[in-house]
Amino acid sequence: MRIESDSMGTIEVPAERYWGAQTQRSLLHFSIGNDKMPKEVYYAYGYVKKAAAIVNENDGRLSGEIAGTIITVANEVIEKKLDSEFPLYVWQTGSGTQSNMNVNEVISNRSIQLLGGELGSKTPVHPNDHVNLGQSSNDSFPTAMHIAAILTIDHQLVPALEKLEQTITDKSREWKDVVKIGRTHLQDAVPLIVGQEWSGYAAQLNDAIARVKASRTKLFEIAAGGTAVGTGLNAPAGFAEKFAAKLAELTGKPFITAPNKFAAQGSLDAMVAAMAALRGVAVALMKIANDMRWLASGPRCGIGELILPSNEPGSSIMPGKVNPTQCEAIIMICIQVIGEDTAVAFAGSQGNFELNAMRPIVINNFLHAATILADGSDKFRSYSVEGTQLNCRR
Amino acid sequence: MLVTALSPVIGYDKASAIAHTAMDKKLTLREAALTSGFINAEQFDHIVDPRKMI
Repeated sequence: MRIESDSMGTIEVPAERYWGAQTQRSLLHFSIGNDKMPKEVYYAYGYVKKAAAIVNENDGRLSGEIAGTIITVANEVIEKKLDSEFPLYVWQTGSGTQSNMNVNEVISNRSIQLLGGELGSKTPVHPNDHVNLGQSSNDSFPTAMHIAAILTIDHQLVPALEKLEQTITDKSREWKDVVKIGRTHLQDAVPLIVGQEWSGYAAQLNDAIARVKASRTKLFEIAAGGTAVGTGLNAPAGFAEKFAAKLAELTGKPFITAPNKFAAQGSLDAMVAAMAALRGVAVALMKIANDMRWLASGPRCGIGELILPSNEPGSSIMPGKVNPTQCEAIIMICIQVIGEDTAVAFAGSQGNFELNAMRPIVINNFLHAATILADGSDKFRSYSVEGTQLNCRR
Repeated sequence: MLVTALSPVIGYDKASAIAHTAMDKKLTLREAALTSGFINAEQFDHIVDPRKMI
């Protein structure tokens, strides 16, 4: 073990770990359940600490050696090389301060190691005075949340949804000449073409994707530079703008400084809106998956218009039974996402004065929802939609 | 948390020690800061001014 210290005193930390006293205290006080702060938050924080170090060096507030080492280690965080150094749980301080300090401590100690110093000495790279320079958890955690949300939307969720939409569009075109009976109120109605029905599914998804993309506009506005309460205390004039420009350059995403830091830090409105867009995806997917499993009901005594791929045995007691399992999985995902949206809206309503201190639950739910929607859409497309056939005898 | 303004001058750890001393010994922040020896009265009055912190 190694002795680390903070303003509360000293505490033992595993000798081989880079984290420090505040991370260790959080592990003591907040080892709750199995819900860890998502790793995407730390990758996002890698960009935050890197951008801050570059701006601080350019402004002469950090030496080239200290800034350069912080940047090297921030890159290690971004490149997922330090994942095991971020052990904290979701259920911690509502500002995310303990995860910010986890990042500050790890970058500090790893930098000290690279510079030949002693772990825990806080010299020559101090977690607060150097790694956190010009920042507060109250502006950096909201910034990391927006970065993590944008990267997950752009690199996981939207590509998966667009592929699913394309597959559904392909089916719609394939079945452009097949007439079937339409149904309203679950009762027989007038005829339509199968391709028309499926074009509706594609359009629903297309609209839902557009709403997700539109929600990105406010996520590009970041709180960095507001520091503790939005006034920018301890950050120099121009820091917010320079930081946002550097972050945009590093990520390739059009981040800008939030025009009002009091709104950016006192609320979670941009995250609530983005989560609502995910709920919109869930609502559309739920309709599509429910229609598919009803239309595939049978095979002898149901509607039986669709034949879904037979992926696995469906029953432990009924031989030969095959079930619409991919539809069931995506419907459960949609139910989960709608529940998570409710939690995010509730958390978003809990701002007090200059801070909404309900942040970890929001980013955990958002990233979880986006990830299961993305992965679920991929599986649903590959193992159900692509192989779906019409039962033309019906 | 007016002590926050001291961090850029004397560092987070010393500023934190002053804040804890003030709370523990029921001193004003100014009294605790001057007792600490990390900063003198003139510097303190110049830095810890709420009008300069907004």
